[in-house]
Parts: sequence; structure tokens; C-alpha cells
Amino acid sequence: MQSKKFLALGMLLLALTLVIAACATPTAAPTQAPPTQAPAAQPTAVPAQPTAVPAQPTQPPAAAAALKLWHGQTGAEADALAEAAKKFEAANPGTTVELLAVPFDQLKNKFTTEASTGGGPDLLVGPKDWIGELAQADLIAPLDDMAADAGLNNLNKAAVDANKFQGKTWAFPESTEAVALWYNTDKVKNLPKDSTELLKLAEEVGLGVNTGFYHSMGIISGYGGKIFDDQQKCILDQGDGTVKALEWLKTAKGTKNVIADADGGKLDAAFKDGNIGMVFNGPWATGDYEKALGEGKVAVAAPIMMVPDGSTFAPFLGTKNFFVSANSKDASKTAAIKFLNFLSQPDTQAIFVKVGHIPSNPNTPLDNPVLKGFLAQTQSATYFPNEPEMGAVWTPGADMITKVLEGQATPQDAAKAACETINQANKK
Amino acid sequence: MATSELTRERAGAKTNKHAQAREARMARTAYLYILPAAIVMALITFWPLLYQLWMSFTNYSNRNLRTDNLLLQMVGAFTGNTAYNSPEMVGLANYANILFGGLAQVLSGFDFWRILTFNLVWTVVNLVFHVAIGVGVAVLLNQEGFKLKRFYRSLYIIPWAMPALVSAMIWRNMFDDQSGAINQLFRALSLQGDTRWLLQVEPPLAWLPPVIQVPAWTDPFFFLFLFLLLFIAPYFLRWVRERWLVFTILWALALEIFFFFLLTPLLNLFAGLTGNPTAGATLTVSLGSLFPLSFFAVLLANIWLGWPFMMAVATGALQSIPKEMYEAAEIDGATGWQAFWNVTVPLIRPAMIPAIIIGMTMTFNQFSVIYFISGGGPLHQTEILVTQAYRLVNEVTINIPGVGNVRPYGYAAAFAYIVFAVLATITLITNRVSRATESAAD
Repeated sequence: MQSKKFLALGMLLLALTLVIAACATPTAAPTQAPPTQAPAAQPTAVPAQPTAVPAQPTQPPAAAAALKLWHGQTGAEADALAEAAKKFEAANPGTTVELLAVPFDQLKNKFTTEASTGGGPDLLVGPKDWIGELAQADLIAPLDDMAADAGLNNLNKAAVDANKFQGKTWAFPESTEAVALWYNTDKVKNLPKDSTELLKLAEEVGLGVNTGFYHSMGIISGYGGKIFDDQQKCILDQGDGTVKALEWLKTAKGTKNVIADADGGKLDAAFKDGNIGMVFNGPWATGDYEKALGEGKVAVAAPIMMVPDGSTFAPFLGTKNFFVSANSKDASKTAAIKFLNFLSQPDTQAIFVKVGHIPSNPNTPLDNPVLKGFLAQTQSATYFPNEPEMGAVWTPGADMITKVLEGQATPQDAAKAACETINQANKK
Repeated sequence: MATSELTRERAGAKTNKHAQAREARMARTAYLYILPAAIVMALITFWPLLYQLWMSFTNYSNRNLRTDNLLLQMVGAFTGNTAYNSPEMVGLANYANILFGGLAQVLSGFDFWRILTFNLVWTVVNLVFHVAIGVGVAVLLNQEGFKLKRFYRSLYIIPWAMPALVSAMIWRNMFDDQSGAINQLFRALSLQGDTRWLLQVEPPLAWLPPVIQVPAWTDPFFFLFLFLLLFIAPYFLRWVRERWLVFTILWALALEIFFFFLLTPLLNLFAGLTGNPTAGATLTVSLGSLFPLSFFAVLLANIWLGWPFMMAVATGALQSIPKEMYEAAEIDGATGWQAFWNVTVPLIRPAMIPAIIIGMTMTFNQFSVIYFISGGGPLHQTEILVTQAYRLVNEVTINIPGVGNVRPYGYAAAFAYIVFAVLATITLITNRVSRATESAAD
């Protein structure tokens, strides 16, 4: 009998504790609670208390602003972002930057859901293929009239233009990216200059070719193929650029010691294990590769020529963007624009250079050879369409490559079928 | 006498009324208890379902995400009021495009009847293996004096307890053609160890019957679906089940002859009568062509994942069978096999039927296993309905006239409802069948 009473009492206490804990935590839970925030944002100078019940951030005095930033980065990249945020807060007393890390695959959904009802963050970090969708849904704000304040004039023009859609600029490009040819310095002594030499070298040291559409675009563009014309009609099947690219991919797949797969993880693993000496991948893999093989043991080759009758390997030019939410207003929006300007300064860009970002401010000091290699590749890159018609390209493009590599169709037929589907989906 | 009868009657009437009043009060209390849960369910389950139903009748896209008032947006779609960013009503157009081929033109590799047939066969084959292995192992582990019973039962629960994503990723790595565990094992045993499990496009059993021949201007998989439906339909009749062997042979032969030889001329005749131009070409399609090698790979992984559930349910059901039944069967001279079919199966059936229905729903919509192991297979050959719905929401833009190139959420909503309709039909049929067979056994 008594034990039952004690049990009941115990459960009641537990339930009460849970309720108190749930009610006491602040609603917007920043992943990093910057301890340096205390003197600036809380003039009542309440020291950070563990129960957090009285320390709810009350409305700071008029000059201060709170800036909310959502991102999908992890590890070293997230740390760099936090460092930049801290420096910004130190330089702008009264302004706080609340960072929220969301798993990347949920980030767009989370932002879309919250922003479409009027909420959400002030700034969103994301890749540039989100521009068309978010702009159409009126969830992000164009930056044209705030270009100078946001520091867009400090940046590489190609990077800024990459974020244009329907004549307006929709995002701030913090860095650019493009895939290039990584190589293991222990295994590769003489760099290939063109696609034939590449395959010959591959027979000795191994090569990883990513056959996904995004990565293959470098080869397609290298041979002169284009996805869209000015009216966004698919022209992959016109000319022989796509056909030559698909034939090269087929040759590469049949070459000894070449792993041609759409699974990037598999190619990464093979390169990090030392099974292959070269791989096509982007600057996002810098930290990973350097950790596995050692700094200085990996490098990036200069863009190769696609032969015969092609030009240099020209992959998609991507940008890592900061979007300004359409719901951001008043003090928060001003703070957001100031933050963007801060990000465009060379010393802030240098923080991100350390984690493998290629700076979009051309005046940033850059001595990392890997990043210099990528910077050279970005000079030979293809425009990555922001138009929403691009959304209809991915699956047919991937199928086109698969069909040719599996011998299910000739390159000409595969390209024609892909363009047919793409044009029908886009009603062109 | 009369008075006491009357009194008893009136007392009975009063007791009757009392009983009714009490019942009404108890019912009201019961409803009050359910009310909180009902409100929550109405908000999180029924309201989104209704919203999705509305969405499936409109051309809703990511353009319509931003609105100041959700309810007025819904009303605005009917009245044409554009103040709340309402989409337009398109009636049944979304459903028609999915079912009758419009979507196939804009979504690479989409063929509704092929996917539906594949999905159904995938579900049935999986369930057969799940139940057979699950019940078999449960019976084996239930033997008297089996020492390591508990150890094995706990061991076999592990596949079910692991997150499906983790299992799927590990299986995917195992099926890799160069460095996967399975091919490495084959190579260690000096067998051919370079099977491209997930990448080979040619089906290994392409000749597997039934084989049908249709004119090139029709959808062959629609007729394949029809074949399978017609093949299975008669088994609901007891008359057929009693003569199942003879009937199966004759019926299979009859259907095969009709679908292979007679269907094409019939359809061409029909088309000629209605004035549609016909091409001369015919397509020959076999059931085996639906199943590439990656189907078998994903099947293996899903069987591994799914049978512990059936084993757990069967184990529970087996505990309730009294030992006397088996002793009685032994006395009557039943062999182990006969004891199994005549004692065990009917007695665990009441527990297995709901388990099979749950298993059917889970397998039909088994997104993680298919998406993370084969990704829809080489060239979309192992797609199921839910993976296609996922693509519609996340990977594709379609040009909707008057709106632009947008994510077609209205289509995806219609897709989801079609999946719901298929599953509801199967569940209702299964319910009917299970009751029918139970009454046959009584």
C-alpha cells in the first residue's frame, strides 16, 4: 500500500519536473548560446543561469537587433560560420546573431513551411538551385536595391550574376564552387593535359568518374553541349557535344582501373583508401580528403582539354548562397544586410577559406594550393541555370547517361529522348 | 396476482428505462474520454487529409505556399477569389493524367500500370516469404525442451529493431558489384563474383510467364495487370478452391491463350471500329520483364527485415494453443505436417490475419528499403508508388499552364490518394476473404 503511494508520488514529481522543464526553455533554441552575448544583449546583466527561467532574452534596447540565421552545415563549416557570427557581434555591439543548424535535407522544407506563413529566419544558407523555387514562392527578397549595402559590389561579378533570375539578384554568393580533378600527389607525378592522356594515366593509377548529371556537365560542356537555349528549350540533342561526352563516358567506364559510378560516396571511399589516384569532386571534399590522406598529399589539377575538338572541362559554377527572407523587416533586416556586407570583406572571407570555400571576393588573400586550383577551375565553368525549367532536367539527364553506359541506347537516341521529356515537362 | 404482474411489468419498464438512461450516461462519459484524443486526431490527421484531398483537385504548386489565411485560400479556389493566393480547381485532371498516361510524358520513366503491378507483386512475394519464414521459425522455436529458445528469439528481433535506413545502407553496400560483401564472398568461394546486383538492366528471368501480346499503341502493363487480376479473381469462390489444381492449370492456359493470341486482333478490331488509327506493330511483354536483378536484391533485404515481425506475432499466437490439441492429433495418427496444417494454422489464423494486413500496408509503402538500396532501380525499374510520389514532391518541376515551372504538389496529393485507394481496396478484400475462409473452416 505504502509503496503504491510512494510510486504515485514519485510519478507525480517526475511529471511536474518534465512540465517545468518544458515550459522553461526559451522557444527559439539557438544551437550555440554565445556567452559573449551577455553584456551586450542583456543590460540587466543577469549572469547565465542554468535553469534559464528568468534569463529569457527580453527585448533589448532600441539600437540592438536580433538576426536569425538558418543553415544546414556541419563540422568545420558550421564552426567557421559561428566564428564569423561572433566576430560580427563583437564589431556590432547590440546586435545578436542566432544560428540554427538544421539537417541539410530538411532545411529547405523547414524554411518553406515557416516562411510561407510569415515566420522563419532572416537569413538562409543554401545552394543556388533553390533560387527559382524560393523566388517563385515569394519567400526570398531580391537584393538589387540593397546591392551596395550588402557588399555585392565587392564580389566577383560572375558569382553575383550566377544568382540572377528573371533580371533580379536573389542571393549573396559567399563562395563559389565547381568540381575539378583531385589527385593523390604520391601516385600521380605527371598531370594529364587532355581527356585521352587522362584515361591513359587512369589505367596506371586509377580514376573515379562521377556519372551523375551534375558532375557530367563538365564533360558535356567541354565538348560544346548546352542544356538550354535562350528560351529554355532543351538543346542537348543538337550538335555533337552531348554525344561525344556520352561516348567519352562510355570509354572511361570500359577503361581499366576506372570506377564510373553515380555514387559519390563510393568514389570518395576509393580515393581515400588509395585505390584510385584521381577523382572528380568539388571543394566540399577538401577537409575529408586532407584528413584521410594528409594535407599536401592531395592537390587539384588544372582543367583538362576535352579532345578531340573540345574545349576545357567546364563544370557547373555553383555558389554557396545567403538568402534574405521576404519576411525579414526593420532592424533585423538592416542587421542581416550588414551581416552580408561583413561577409563580403576579405578577412571574413578568409575564415571560410580555411574550411575550403573558394572566396567570391577576388581580393581575399589565397595561398592554399588546393583552393587556388579550384579558383582556376571556376574560371572555366558553365552557368548553372536558375530557371525553374532546370528542375525538369535532372531525372531525364541521369537516365540519359545511365542508358548509354548500360548499352540500352545509342548516345544520339538517349539525348533525343531526354530532350523530348524535358521539353514536354517544360511545355516548350 | 394481476397487480403484482403489473407492478413487475412497470418495474421492468422502469428498470428498462433506467438501464437505457444509464447506458446513455455511460456512452456520454465514454465520448468525453475520447474527446481530447479525437480533437488531436482531427487536427493532425483528418484535417491534413481533407486539405490534401482538396489539393488533389487543384493545380496547387509551390507558388501557392504563401498565404495569409489557409481556409480562405481553400474557399478561394472554388470561388475564384485570388486574394489569398488560391490555386485553380482542375477537377479530376490530376487523377486522369496519372492513370491514363499524361504524367508519363513529363516524368521520365513513369508508367502507372507497370508501377502498380510491380508494387502489388512486390507486396505479395514479400508477404509470402515473411509469413512462411516467420511462422516456420516460430514453430521450430516453440518445440518442447528447446534450450536456446529465448536467445534465438532475441537474436531474431534484431533486424526488426534496427532502423530501416541503417539496414538499407548496409545492404546497399553489400550489393556493390566491386567491393560489396556478397560479391567478395562469391569470389572467396571461387564463384563468379562480379554480379552487378543493383545496376544490371537486363532482367535475369525475362522469359517468366505469363507472356502477353498487345498492339504497340496500348499500354502493355495495363493488360498484364488485368491478366493477374483475372487470374486471381476466381479463387474467392469456394467451388474453385476445392478443385484448385485442375482449375489452375485450365484457367492459366485459357488466359494465356487469350492474352497471347486473341487480345491483339480484338483490340485492333475495337480500335478500327471506333475509328482510331492502328499501327501494325505488337509488343510482347512477360511478367519476368518487370523484375530486374535489383528487384531480387531488394527482395532479399526486405525479407530479412520483415520476417521477425511475423515470427513475433506467430510466437504469441502459438502460446495460446493448448498442448492437448497436439496430443489429440497424435492419437488420431496425424503426422507432423498434418498437425501443422490442421491444428496450428487454423488456431494462429486470428492473430496472423491482422499481422498480414499490417505487413501488407508496410510492405506496399516500403519507401526506405527501395529508395536507399536501389534508388528506384536501374532506369526506374524498381520504383513503387510512394517513391514516385517522393520524386514528384522533391525532384521534379513541371510546367503547369498559367502557373509556370513549379513543383506539382497537386499531382503528388492525387498520387497519395491513389495509393490510399489501392491499399483500402486490398485491405477490404483481405478482410472479406479472411472472414470467408474462417467460416469455411468452422
